[in-house]
Amino acid sequence: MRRVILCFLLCLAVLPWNSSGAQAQVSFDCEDPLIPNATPAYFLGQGNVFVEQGQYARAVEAYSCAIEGDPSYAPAYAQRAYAYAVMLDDQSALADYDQAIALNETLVDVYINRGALYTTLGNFGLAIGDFSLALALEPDNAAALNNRAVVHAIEGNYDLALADVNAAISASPDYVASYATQAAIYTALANQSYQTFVDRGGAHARLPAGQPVNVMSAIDTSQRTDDFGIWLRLQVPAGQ
Amino acid sequence: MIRRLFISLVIAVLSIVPVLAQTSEEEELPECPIFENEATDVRISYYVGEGLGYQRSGQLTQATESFDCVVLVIDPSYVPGYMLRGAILAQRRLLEDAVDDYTSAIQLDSSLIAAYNNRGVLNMALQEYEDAEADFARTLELNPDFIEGYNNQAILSALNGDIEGAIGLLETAISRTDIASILEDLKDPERPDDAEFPEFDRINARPYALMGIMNSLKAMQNYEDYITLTRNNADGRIGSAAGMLESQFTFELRLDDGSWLLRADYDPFNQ
Repeated sequence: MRRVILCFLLCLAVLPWNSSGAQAQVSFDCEDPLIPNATPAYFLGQGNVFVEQGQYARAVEAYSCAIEGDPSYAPAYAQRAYAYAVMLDDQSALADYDQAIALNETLVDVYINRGALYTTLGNFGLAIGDFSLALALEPDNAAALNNRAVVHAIEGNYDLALADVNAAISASPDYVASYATQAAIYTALANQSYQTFVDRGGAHARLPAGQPVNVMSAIDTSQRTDDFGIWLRLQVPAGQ
Repeated sequence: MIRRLFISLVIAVLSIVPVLAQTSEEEELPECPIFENEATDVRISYYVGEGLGYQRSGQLTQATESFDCVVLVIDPSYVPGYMLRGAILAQRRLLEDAVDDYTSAIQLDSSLIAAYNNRGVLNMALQEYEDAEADFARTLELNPDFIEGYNNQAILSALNGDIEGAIGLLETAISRTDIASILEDLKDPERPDDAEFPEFDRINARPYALMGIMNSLKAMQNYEDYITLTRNNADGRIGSAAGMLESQFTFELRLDDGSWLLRADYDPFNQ
């Protein structure tokens, strides 16, 4: 008999915290914060978890709670704008970015994210303007440099693009996105050079090392194996 | 058969709890870069919100890290941080670490009833029954109307074989509120059908549920005594009734998942 009592009471004793897990699927609302003197940042914390989980609509709700608590809280507009942008609600995103900057014109990340949105929308001039404003506030901001490089590249200004991306790499060697951007810019330059070869050599001119995609592959092999054969194919004799 | 099930459950629980308790992780200072240059209340608010977000989505390790930021980095004297982290650690079955957090909360605020109550529940799980008893007793010293304290103390009492004592505690709990008169009113045959259902704290009704279980345990003990005395000559109907009662414990009351009975209050401010 005692064993039965012992069993069920111990079962109870190790399980009391299970019930709170049931809250996982409850929809988000502007609950009273669980702590006294909470600031709107409380809802930002919750919203950022939703963003991390890809639950952008719920993140918007959480950020809206922060704004409801303090309509002049710029970081909430900034975060909500980002969530709207991911949800492809461009107009709401722009409105929130604008509001965030109106409330606090020193929010570097807002300029960067609004610039990225402008880039997506094809407003390259406005995008460059936002990245430049971010860089005026933080000259070594790798994301702003990288993103401005991307816009320069889109516009075909590869020298400016390389200057920005190289500055980004110098400023933050561990910021890996810049290396991918740099590679893409060099790829664009490579295509541009091949096009020049074709333009000047004529339609039937034979590429000495083969098609660009094959050259890329051969150079990759060369770098891994020290087989420099691909480079030899690019040499030319004098007087030809 | 049922008895063997209970025995194996006891063994399972007894063997699992210490193992779970030993899996605690060493505390390392986390990186907490968000709002690093903002005021303390902003940083605390952010990481508490973040921690609750993780907790509600079942990401308990990340939730712990958020509350680590609160109590290890931002403000080691922030009592709610320990309470909240303690609840997460308990969910993760890091029971001893959770006890440590409630102890920290108590050291900072010795009047925090929820901390004593939650620590008492954990001490029960860790089979530290004397510590659990002291914790529940302290909740009632601090607030003689703290019904959860009576409920939990009654369960502890039953665990120690004192079912009569448990029933006494539950009767005291009932007497501390107006729940008995509410019940009487609800059972009044003259009560109009369209009368509004009264509002009351549901926790005040729980002593009745627990008392039902205690009385069932007493009944089962009586049946077992009868069966022991009569052996093969026992009346089959009594044997059947005893079996049904045991089945009730297993299937209807779902005592294998009886979290609804023993309460730990997660909200340090909801007292």
